[in-house]
Amino acid sequence: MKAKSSKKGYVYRTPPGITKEAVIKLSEIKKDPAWMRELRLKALDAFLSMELPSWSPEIPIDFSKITLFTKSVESQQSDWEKLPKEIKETFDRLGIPQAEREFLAGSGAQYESEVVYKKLKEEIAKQGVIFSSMDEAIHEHPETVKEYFGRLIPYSDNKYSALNTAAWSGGTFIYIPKGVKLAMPLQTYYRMNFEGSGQFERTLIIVDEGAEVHYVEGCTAPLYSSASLHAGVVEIFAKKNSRMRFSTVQNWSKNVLNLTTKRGLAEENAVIEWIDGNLGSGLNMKYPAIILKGNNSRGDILSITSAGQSQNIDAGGKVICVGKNTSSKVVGKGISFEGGTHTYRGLVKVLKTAENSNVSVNCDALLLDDISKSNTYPTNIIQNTNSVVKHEASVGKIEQDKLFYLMSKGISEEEAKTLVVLGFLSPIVKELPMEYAVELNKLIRMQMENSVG
Amino acid sequence: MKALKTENLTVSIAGNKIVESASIEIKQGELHVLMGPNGSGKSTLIFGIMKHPAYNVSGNIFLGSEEITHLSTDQISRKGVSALFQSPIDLPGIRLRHLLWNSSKHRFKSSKDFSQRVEELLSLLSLEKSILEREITGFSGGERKRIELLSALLLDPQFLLVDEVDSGLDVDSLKSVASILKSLKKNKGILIITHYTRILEYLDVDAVYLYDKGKILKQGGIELAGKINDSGFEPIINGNS
Repeated sequence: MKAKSSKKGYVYRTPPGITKEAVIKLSEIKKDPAWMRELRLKALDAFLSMELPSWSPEIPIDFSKITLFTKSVESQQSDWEKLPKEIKETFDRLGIPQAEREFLAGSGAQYESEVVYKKLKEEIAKQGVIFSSMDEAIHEHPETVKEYFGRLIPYSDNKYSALNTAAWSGGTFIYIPKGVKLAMPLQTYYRMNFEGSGQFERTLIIVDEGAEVHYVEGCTAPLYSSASLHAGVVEIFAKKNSRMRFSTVQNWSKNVLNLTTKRGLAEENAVIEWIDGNLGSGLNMKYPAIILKGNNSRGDILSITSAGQSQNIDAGGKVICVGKNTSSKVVGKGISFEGGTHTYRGLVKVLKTAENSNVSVNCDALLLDDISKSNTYPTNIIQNTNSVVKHEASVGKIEQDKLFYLMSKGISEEEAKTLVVLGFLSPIVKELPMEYAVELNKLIRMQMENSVG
Repeated sequence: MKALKTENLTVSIAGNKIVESASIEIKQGELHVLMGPNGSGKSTLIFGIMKHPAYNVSGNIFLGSEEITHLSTDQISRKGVSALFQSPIDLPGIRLRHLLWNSSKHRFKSSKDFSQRVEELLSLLSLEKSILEREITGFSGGERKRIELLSALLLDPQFLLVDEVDSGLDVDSLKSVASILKSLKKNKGILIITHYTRILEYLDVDAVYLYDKGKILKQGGIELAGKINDSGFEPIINGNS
């Protein structure tokens, strides 16, 4: 295949480095309202003055080389050709259509889901649902965005939420009106065509009283990014009696550092669930959080972590109980192989006000060989006497008896290991929509094959 | 007809010999029975032949003229030796259909052929079709035994090593399992390990081994099983010592 694209390439581009000049340029490109421009600049100051968290793994990054924003108006077929061979092969093996592959490769090709998406958008718009990119939302729904943006994750929260606030572009905005219950999950997949997953995605979801929605972010196919840093922010507001499930399977290419802050606020009797798969990136630091503010609110975090060669996958969850009778279940399942490191890092905090709350944390790790690592860092803080917090953790190797049993049925050792791993992860995988579960299993299978092959 | 043969098979774990110098030979078309008291090392004999990685195996195992002592468990299985374990392990998160498919897919032209064969076997073993979608955990003892038999039949092995298939089965299930084993004898060699003689009533037995403390103490015909049934293991074992 011959490269056809021109060298002109990028039309919109901020100057390199994370600087005031770059942020101002970005704000101009985005035609930000004044308040957003000010917020970006304040966040930039915070980012520049904040230290890296002391507990974090080493983050190998040169901020002077980061370009905050680039956008091409021309098709970039050459990008497809520059793609690493392993990523192309993965696309082949997953059977992803060419058009979609190019999108996944970051080459900006239009994916033909437009028809499906349009239909979906019309359907849900009748019910008053808003499902758009954040870039659109800030212009089309300025009051709502202004009211909620950064309220749950202020720029001062951590160095990377500051960076995101200063540099955000792309991401998703969802508003579900009172009492509207969407039976079908909303998926980013449907709106891939107008704004891809950016470096600094910003997602804001508001589920109004009594409403219900399941949002599936990203896709399980490997997402190749030439940018080395991904620092996203997701804020969820779940109002009284509402229900929100947020599923992600993160499968960035290994050159990516994924430093993402996700937090949900559950009002009275509301339910928030994070289903969080972490397969990709070289370094991942992501701990979806739930603040159970309202009485009788509930929040679950189910997370899967897979760390292979040269991967350091730090994941987990945070639960803060504030209201009475709140409950939460945190389940983490991690596998490490080929020298990969996976870490469960979790916080449970039951405030004095959170009487009769009940939290269980269960994290299991499976090590597939002797050179891989698994760490667990749980923190539990309970400030009243009538709440219950349970914590269980286990680290193990694949049981010899299981492998023997499977192999006695003629199954090869590699395949037997894969089956045991899929079985281990299955309680979480089966919470995903069918097509994602199938793809996730395929991916794990491929990772394992590569590791033994 | 081929034979499965062990010569001076010794199976040990952490330096302890559980099976000592066991030599048996089973031809296709024969059904042999190995009887012995609890803790005599009967199951370990099967683990040894199937090369459980926790055990050290010395001596020789032949399948026909081919030595298979150094093959791995999956290779031995694919050569045509299958085992039905006394207490098959639970595999939560793995559906039965998935296990059966992964184990036997190479034997079928299509998933349709596979499904057809599985359905035949389910009905032969009086199992519900819905059992295929269950994860391999929480089965009753009787279901588990029949699932073991089903998975072995799917592979259509030349030799079948059967560990206490009769424990935990009610009379009706016992009869139906025994009649299946009996019909399999036509073209397979079968080794049955058991405490009880009851299942033998329904089988056509060619040889009986009395086994204790890792050793074959006595070999005979069905009359040896009769003796064990009449007097129990102890007098016969002691009579030999």
